[in-house]
Amino acid sequence: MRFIGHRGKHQSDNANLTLKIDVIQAQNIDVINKFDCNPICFVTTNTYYHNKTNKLKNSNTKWNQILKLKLPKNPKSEWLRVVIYDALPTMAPYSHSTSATATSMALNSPSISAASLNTMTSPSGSGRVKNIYNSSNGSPSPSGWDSPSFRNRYNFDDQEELNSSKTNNYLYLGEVRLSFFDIFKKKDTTTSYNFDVHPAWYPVYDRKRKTAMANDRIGEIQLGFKLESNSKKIPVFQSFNEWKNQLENNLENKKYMHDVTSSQTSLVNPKLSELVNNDARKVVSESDLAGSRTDSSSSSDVVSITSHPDLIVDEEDLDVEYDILSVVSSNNDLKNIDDGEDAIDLNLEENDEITKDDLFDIKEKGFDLQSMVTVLDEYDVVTPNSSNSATEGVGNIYESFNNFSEGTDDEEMEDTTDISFDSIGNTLLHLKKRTRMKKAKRSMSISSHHPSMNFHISKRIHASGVLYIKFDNIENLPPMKNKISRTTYIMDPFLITTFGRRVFKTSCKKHVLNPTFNEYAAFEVYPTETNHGFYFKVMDKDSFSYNDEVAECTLSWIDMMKEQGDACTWKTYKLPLKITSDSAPKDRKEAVLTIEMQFVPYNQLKENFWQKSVPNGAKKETFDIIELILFFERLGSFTDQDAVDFFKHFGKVAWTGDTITRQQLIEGLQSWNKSIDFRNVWRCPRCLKSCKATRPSRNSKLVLENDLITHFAICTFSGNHKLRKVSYVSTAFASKRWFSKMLIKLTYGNYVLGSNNANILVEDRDTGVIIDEKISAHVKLGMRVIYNGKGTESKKFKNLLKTMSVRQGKKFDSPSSIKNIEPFIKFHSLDLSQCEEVEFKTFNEFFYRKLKAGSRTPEGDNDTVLVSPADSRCAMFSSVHKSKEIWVKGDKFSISRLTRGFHSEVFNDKSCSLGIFRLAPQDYHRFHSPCNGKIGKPIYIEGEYYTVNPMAVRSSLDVFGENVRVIIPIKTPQFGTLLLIAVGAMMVGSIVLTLNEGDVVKRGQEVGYFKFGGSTIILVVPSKSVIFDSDLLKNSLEGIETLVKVGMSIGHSPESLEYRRQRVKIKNSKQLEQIKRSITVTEENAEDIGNVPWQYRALEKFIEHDPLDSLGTSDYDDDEKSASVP
Amino acid sequence: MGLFSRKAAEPAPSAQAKKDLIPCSKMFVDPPNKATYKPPPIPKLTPEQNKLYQSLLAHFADENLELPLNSNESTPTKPLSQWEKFWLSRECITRYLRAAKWNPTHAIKNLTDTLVWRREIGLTYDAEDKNQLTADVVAIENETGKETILGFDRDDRPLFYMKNGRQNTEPSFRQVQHMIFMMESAVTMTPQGVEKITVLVDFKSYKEPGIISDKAPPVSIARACANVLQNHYPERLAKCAFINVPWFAWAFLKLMYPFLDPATKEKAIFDEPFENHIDPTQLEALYNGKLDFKYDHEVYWPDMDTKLKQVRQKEFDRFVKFGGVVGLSEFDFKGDHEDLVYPVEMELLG
Repeated sequence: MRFIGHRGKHQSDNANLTLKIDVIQAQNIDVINKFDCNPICFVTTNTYYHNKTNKLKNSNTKWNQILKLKLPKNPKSEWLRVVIYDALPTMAPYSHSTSATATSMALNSPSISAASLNTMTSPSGSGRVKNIYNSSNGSPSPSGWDSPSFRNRYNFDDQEELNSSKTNNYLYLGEVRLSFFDIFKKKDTTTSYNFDVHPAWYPVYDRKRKTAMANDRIGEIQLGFKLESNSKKIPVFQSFNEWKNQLENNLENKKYMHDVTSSQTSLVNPKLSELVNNDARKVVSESDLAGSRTDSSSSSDVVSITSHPDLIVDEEDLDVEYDILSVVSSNNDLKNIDDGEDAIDLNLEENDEITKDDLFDIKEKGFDLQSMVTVLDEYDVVTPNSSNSATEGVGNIYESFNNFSEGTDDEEMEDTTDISFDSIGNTLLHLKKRTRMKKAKRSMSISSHHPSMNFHISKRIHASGVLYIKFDNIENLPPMKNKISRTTYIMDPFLITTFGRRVFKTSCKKHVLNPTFNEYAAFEVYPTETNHGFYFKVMDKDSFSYNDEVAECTLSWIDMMKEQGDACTWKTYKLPLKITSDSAPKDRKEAVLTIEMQFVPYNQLKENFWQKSVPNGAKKETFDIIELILFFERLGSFTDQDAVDFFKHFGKVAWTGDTITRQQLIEGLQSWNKSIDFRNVWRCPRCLKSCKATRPSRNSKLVLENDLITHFAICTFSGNHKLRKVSYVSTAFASKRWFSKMLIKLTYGNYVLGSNNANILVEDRDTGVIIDEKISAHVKLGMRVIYNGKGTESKKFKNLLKTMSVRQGKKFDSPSSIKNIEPFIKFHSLDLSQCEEVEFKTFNEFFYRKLKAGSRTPEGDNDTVLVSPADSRCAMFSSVHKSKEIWVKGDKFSISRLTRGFHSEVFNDKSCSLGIFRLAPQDYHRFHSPCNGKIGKPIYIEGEYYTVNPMAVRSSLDVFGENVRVIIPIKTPQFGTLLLIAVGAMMVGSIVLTLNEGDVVKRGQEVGYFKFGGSTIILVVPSKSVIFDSDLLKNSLEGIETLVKVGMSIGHSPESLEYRRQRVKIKNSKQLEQIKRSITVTEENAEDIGNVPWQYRALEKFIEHDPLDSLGTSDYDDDEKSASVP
Repeated sequence: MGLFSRKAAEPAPSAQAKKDLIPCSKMFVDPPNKATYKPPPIPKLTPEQNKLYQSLLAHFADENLELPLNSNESTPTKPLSQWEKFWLSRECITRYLRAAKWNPTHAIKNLTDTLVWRREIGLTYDAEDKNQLTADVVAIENETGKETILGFDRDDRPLFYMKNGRQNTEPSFRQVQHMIFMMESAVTMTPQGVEKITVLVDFKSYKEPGIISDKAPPVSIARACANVLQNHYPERLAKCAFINVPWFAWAFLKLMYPFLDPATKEKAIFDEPFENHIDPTQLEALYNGKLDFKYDHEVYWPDMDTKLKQVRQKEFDRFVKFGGVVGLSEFDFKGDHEDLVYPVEMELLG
C-alpha cells in the first residue's frame, strides 16, 4: 500500500505538461515569396525540447500541423521559439562553411568574394561575414534581394543553428519568440489563464542577421496553442502554476519580463551595436583590400590576401568579435543560452586556430604556383561547386606543405603530396567523426570549424605508374648435381621475382643451363612501394625432393629508375647472379640474369589513355551517331545528348548520318570535359571490366580514373603478351613444390594475405618485405588446448596455463636458468650487438635485456609524433569497429571490457583508435612511452593467460579482454589521455613497471618490461586526437602486421603531419635474412622438432599424461631438464 | 496464381481451321469498317487552351519564321516549306501542347526542335532536299520484315509490329533511320480522326535465313529510339502490347507494374489477350488472329511504299486545296469530303 501511495505521489510531482502548437501558416515572408523555398518550422524551448513540421515544397507555407512539445520539468527559460527555416536541397553532406565558400566564390561582387576568401583563409569567417553584410550593404533593400547573392548570404548565418538532419541544411529565415507567461495569459487579468489559445498571427523576426536594425520584422506566422497535462488528477492550471513557479525560481535573478513585442527590439544595447559596426567596418576595409585583387587569378588571391597587414587586421578583428559575443551571451538573457555558449565555443576554437592558420599562410608564399599545377589535376577537391576547386586545391596543397622547407625540387614535391594528402584525408575522416560526436552530445549541434573542414580532399592513392617486366633469359647457370641420381649436371631452372607483396614465378625450363623464358609480368606500382626492391631467385625444380635454391640477386627501385630515365621505353638490365647453392662448382663464369623493364608513369598513361583505348574499344574508322552512342555505352554513363554534343563539337550533324573519324574521336575525348576527368568513364574499353569506385569512396566523390587507367594499361599489355599472374604471397611459398602447398593448404588454410588463418604475414617496415611468421609448435598446441577445451576441463587447462606461466616465470628468475640463454640466442639467431650488457644472471634478465642508449631514438623532431612503444608487430586501427572487422575477432571484445570500464566516457568503442603491438619471444621486451606525458595510476587486472598470437586474436576468443593486463594511463598535452595496456600472454609471468604513478615520462622513455614470453601492448587513443600512419593502417586493413621498432613513428596529432619515412633498400641477401630472422625463426629451426622450446615439451607431456591427474600433482620439476631448449 | 505466373494460356487455336484464315501479304490502307466509319470530331479545347493554341498558331503561321537546316549552331536558316506547313496541322500543334502540359514555351521549343530534326533526318518530302529518308534507303533493314504495319485495332488505330527476333543487321544508324521511317509511315496511315497508333512488340526469336540476331537491340539503340519517339512523335502512342516476353522481362514488368504511372500503365499491355483490343480479322494468325500474313519483302515493301506515297500525296493535295496554310486540320486532309470542316480561324471551344 505504501509503495503504491508513494508512487502516486511521485507521479503527481512529475505531472508532465504538453504544449500543443498548431502551426498553421506563414505569410508575407519575402524570401519565401521570392524564391522557391521548402519552408519548415521548428518549435523549441529550453534547448533540448523541440519538434518540427513537415518540409513543404514550392514556397508553400500552409503547414497546418499540430506539434506536441513536452515541457521540461525543470525549465530554465520561459521562451518558446518558433523558427522558420528553408530546407535547402539535399546535397552531399558538407559543412556549412564549405557551402558558404563555394557558393559565394562564384559571385563577382568584390566584397562577397573577398569575404569568402576570408572564410577560406581564416576559420573565423562565419562570424565576420555576417557583419560584412550588415555594413557593406546597409539594410538589404528589396532590390538587393533579387540577386542570387542574397540567398547565399543566408548560408553564412545558420552555422550555429539547429541542424537536426544529416543531409539537410537549413537556411534560417526568421523566428517568433514567445514567453510562456504571455501565451496563456488572459488580457485583462493577471492570474487567470487560458490554456487553449486560438490561432492568431504573430510577427516573425529575423534575429540572426539584422540585430542592429530597428525593423527586422520579416513576416507573420499563424499559431495556436493548447496546454495539456498528462495527469488526469491534476488540472492543467495547477500543474502549470507549479511549472511556472519552478521557472520563476530559476529565473529569480533575472528580471526580463518583457512582453512579446518589446522583447524583440530592446535587447540590443547601443554599445553592442556600436561594437558590431566598428568591427564590421574593419572587415570591410579588409575586404576592399582583397577585393581589388580579385581580377587576378583565383590562386593568386589566396596569396595576396595573406600579406601581413591583413593578417593583423584579422586577428584584431577576431578578438573584437569574441568580446562582442561574450557580451551577448552574458548580458542578453533573451538569447538562448545555448546559442551563446556555442558561439563562444566556436570563437575559442577559432582563436586557437588562427595563429596556426597564419603560419600556413606565410609559408605558402614560398612556393611556386606553377609547380603545383600538375599536381592539381591529379587531385580532386570535392566541393559542392566544382568551379572553385582549383583555388581550394591550392589552399590545400599549401596547407599540406607547411611542414616542408621551401627548397624542395619538383620531384620531391610530388612525392610529398602523396603522403600529406593521405594524412589530410585521415584528418577529414576524423573530423567528421568528431562532429558526429558533438551532435550526439548536444541536440543543438554546430558544425565544427576546423580549418580542414573547409576543404574536402578525396583522392585515393593512385598508382604512380605501371611496370612491365620481361624475363628474358639467364646465362651460365652452374651445373648442379641431381640429388637422386647424382649423375647429371643439368638442372630445371625457374625464376621467382618478388617486388613488395607481388611474387611472380616463371615457368620451369627443362634441362638447360641457359634458359630463355621470354615471359612477361605487369603490375601497378603504388607510391609507398617505390622504396621496395626487386628480389630475384633462381630455383631448380625437383620433382621428388625440395626445390633447390640456385642463385639470387636484387635490384633496388632507385637503381631501376636510374636506368629508366624519362623515356619510358624498354630497358635491358643485366644482373649478375649470386650463386647460393653449395653444390655448384666454384670456378664458373658469372651467371647473368637478363630482364627488360619499362616503367610508365601514371601521368603518361593518362595522357595516352584515349589514344590507345579508342582503337581497342572500336574497330571502325568512322563513327555515326549510333556507333558513337554504342561506344559510349561501353565506356560508362553517357546520354544520347552527349553523343549529339560530340558531333556538334566537330561541326557535324548527328542525325543526318554524318560520321566522325577515329582520330577526331580521340581528339574529342582528350579535350572533352566529360571524358577528361574520367568521371563518367568507368569501364575498360578492352575487357569491359567495370572499374567503378569501391566501397569507401561512396561518400566522397572519388575520381575513378586511377583504377581504370592502370587497369587498362595492364589489360592491353596482357592482350599482346601472356602475363604471369601474381599468384603467390611470398617467395618461400612460390618456391615450394605442389604437394607442400597442398599440405599447407590442408593444415593451415588458404595461403592468402590477411585471411583468417594460421599464416601470419608480417611486413618489415623499413624494407617493405613481407615474410610469413611461422607459428612454433607450442603455440599451436596451446591454441588447441584453448579451442578444444569445453566445460570444466577447459577451466582446468586455463588454471594449468596460469600455474605453468607463473612457475616458469619463477624458474627463469633462478640463476640456473642461465643455461637457457645460449640455445635461445641460437634458436632465434639473435644479434646482441645492441644490448647494453651481455652478461646475464638469469634467463629473465636476458629476456628483458636493455638496449644501448641511442639505439632506439624517437623519430620526428616534435612531440606531436606518436612513436611505437615496443619492438613488435603492430596492427593499427582507426576505430574499434574496423579492428573487429579485420583483426580482433572476439565477439565480446570492446574497449570497456579491455579497460574494465576505465573512464568509459572517454575510452569507449565509438571514440577510440586502437594500436595492437605484439611482441614475439625474440623481441626486445621492454616497452616505452609513445609520447611525452605524465603517468597515471596503473591498474592491474587479473585474468587468463591465453596466447596473443594472431591466430588466437582472430578467433572468437576475447583474448585481450580476458588476459592478465596492466592499464597505464598517460596524460599528454598532445593527445589527451591515452592508455598503454600491457597484456600478459601465454607463459608470461609478470609485467613489471619501472615508472611510478605521477612520474613524468619522455617520448621513447622506458615504462616497463615483460618477463618471459610473447606479449602485447595495446595502445588506446581517443580517435579525435591522433591519426595513425597511413602505411600501418593500410597494412592492417589487409590483415598484415607491420614490424616496428621502439621509437618509430606510428601516428601524429591531427594538427601535425605524418613523419616522412625513408625506406631502406635491401643491399644484400644477408640483410634480408636478418629481417627474416627478426620476424620469424628459420625454417629449419621451426620444423626441427628437437628445437622446440620448453613449453612445447611441457604441454606435450601434459597432454600425453592424463590431464586431470597431472593438475594437482606437480611432476613439473621433473621436466626441467628436458623443458629447456636443447 | 503466383505473382509471376502468366494468365492461363488461351485454348489452342486448333479450332481455327486453316480455311478460316484470310490470306494477305500487303498493308491495309483503310480500317475494316470503312463503309460505316464515322470519324470522331476533333476534341474541343477550353478557352485557356484555345488561347495557348492561338498563340502557337500565330508563332508558326508567321511568314518570317525561319528555322535552321539542322541542329548545329550557325547553320543557314530557311522559311517553312509547304510540306512543313502541312505537317504543322491543327492536331499537330495541339498534340505538342498536350505533350508539353500546355506550357506554350515548351511546346514551341519542342515543335521547333522537331521541325529542325525532321529537316536533319530527311523527312521534309521536299524534292530539293538531297538527304531524304526514303523507303529505298532503309529497304535493306526490312528484308526479314522485322517491322511491319498491318491492320487496325478496334479503335481504328494502325497496328505497328516490331519483331526483335527478326533482326537482320548489326546495330547501326540505318536501323534507327528504319525505325523512324516506319514510325512516320504508321503515323501517315492513321485514318481520319485518329491520331494514335498501337505498337506490338514481339520478343519471340525466329530462326529463318537472313536473321542474324534474335536478341533485343542494345540498350543504347533502344534508348535512342525511345528518345526519338518521345521527342518527335509525342502523343502518338496509344498502346504498346508485348508478346512473347522473356521471363526476366516479364518478372521485371510485373514488379514494376504497381509503380507505374496510371497513364503509362494503361498504355502497356502484356497480360491480356489481344482480342480485347484487336479484331481477329485484323490480327496476324501468329498471335491468334485470322490474318495469314507471310512477309515477302518483294511484295510488301514496294506496295507499302506506293500506298504511303499515295496517301501522303492525297493528303497534301487536299491541304493545298484548302489553302495550304499552317493550322489546317488533319481531319480535313484525311477525309473525302469536299468542303473545309475546320477552317484555321475556327475556334473549337468546348
